[in-house]
Amino acid sequence: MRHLVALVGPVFRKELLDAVRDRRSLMSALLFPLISPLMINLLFGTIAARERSAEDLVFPVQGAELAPGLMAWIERANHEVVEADGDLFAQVRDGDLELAVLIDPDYADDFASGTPAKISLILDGSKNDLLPLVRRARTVLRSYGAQTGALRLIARGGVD
Amino acid sequence: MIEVRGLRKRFGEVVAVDDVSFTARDGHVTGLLGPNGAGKTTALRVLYGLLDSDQGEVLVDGVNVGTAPQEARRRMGVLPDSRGLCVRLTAREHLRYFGRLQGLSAAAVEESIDRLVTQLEMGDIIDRRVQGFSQGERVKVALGRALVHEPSNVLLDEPTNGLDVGATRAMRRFIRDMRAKGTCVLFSSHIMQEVAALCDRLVILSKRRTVAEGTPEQILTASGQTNLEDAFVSLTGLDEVGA
Repeated sequence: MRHLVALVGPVFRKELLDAVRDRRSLMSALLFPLISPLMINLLFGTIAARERSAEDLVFPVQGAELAPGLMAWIERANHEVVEADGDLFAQVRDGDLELAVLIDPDYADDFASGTPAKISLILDGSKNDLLPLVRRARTVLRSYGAQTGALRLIARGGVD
Repeated sequence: MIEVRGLRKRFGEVVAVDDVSFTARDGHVTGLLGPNGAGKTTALRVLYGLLDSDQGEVLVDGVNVGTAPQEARRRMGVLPDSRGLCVRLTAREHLRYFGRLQGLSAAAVEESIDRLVTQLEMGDIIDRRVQGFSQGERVKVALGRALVHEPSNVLLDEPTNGLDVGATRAMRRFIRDMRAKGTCVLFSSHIMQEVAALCDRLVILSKRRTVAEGTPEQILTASGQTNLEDAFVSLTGLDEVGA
C-alpha cells in the first residue's frame, strides 16, 4: 500500500503533462465554460427583448363603441385602442394585424342584461414570436372580465 | 531466471493457454516460438503479472508473480507487444516516468537515462516528442523504458516487429550484449531466422501448449529434421494443415 501511494506523484505529473500538451481537449475543456455564459446571456436577452416589446400594446378593435367600459379599461392599462375595419380574421391570417379584438354585435345588450357578453381575441397561434403579445392581451381582457364579475357579485350581494 | 510451471489461462469458453512450462536461464537468450494464436502473448502477459493464471505458477528469480506481483515486476523489464507510448511525451519523459514508477530516486533515474542514451544511441531523439517517431525510434523508447531500472530479466514480445534491417541488427546486437552481462532474455517471435541467429534455447508453443524445449540442436534431434524451420513446422503440426 505504501508502495502504491509513492506512485501517485509520478503518475499525476505524467498525466498532467500529457493533458496539458493535448491542445484539442484542453481547448474544448476551457472554451465551453467561457462561451456558455455568453450564449445564455444572448438567449435570455432575446427573450427579454420580446417581452419588453409587448409592454405597450395596440388593440385593433371592431365594435369599440359597443363596449366603452372595456375600452376605458384597456386605455387605463396604458394600451392603445384603434378602430379596425373589414375581415379581421383575414387580416390576422395575412399578417396585416398581429392580433385583433372583435366585439360581438349583441355585446351591449348581453352586458346590460348580465348574461355572458362575447369578445373574440383573434390571433395566429402559429407565430411564436407573437406569444408574449398575445399573453398580455389575454391578461388585459381577462382581468376586465374578472373585475366586472367581482363588481356584479358585490352589487347583487349574498355569497355567504 | 524465469520459471514457468503448468500455466493455464482461459477466458470464458476460450482456452488461451492450456499447459505451458519452461525455464529461461540467466545469461541465456530464450526464444518463445509459436505460430500466430499459439498463446505466446497471453503467456507473456501472465508472466508480467498483467493477467492472473487459472493454474500453474510463474517464478521470477524465485519470486512468485501471482502472490508478489510488484516485487516480481521490479525484476523484469518488459517490451510489450503493443508498445503503449504516450505520443505527447518526449523519450526522456517516458524513461523518467518508468524509472520513478520502478521506485528509483530522481538522481538514479537521470543517471540511468544517460546510460541508455549512449547504449541505445538515442541522443538525437531523447528530447523530442514520440509523435512522429519512426517504428525503430519507438522501439528504442519502449526498450529504454523496459531497461531503465536495470532488470535482471528482460521480456521482449516480438521486438523486431516493424523494424528495418539496420534496426533489427542493432536490436540483435543489443540482445547479445545483455546476454553477455548475464541478463536473462526471453523473447517471443514467429520469425525462424531471427530465432536461429540469437537463441541459446528455444521453447516451442503450439495449440496453447509447450511442445518442445531445449537448445536448437536438441530441438532438431527431437523432431528428426535437419533445419529449424522444418523442425518448427513438424513440431507445431503446421504441416497437417498445409498438406
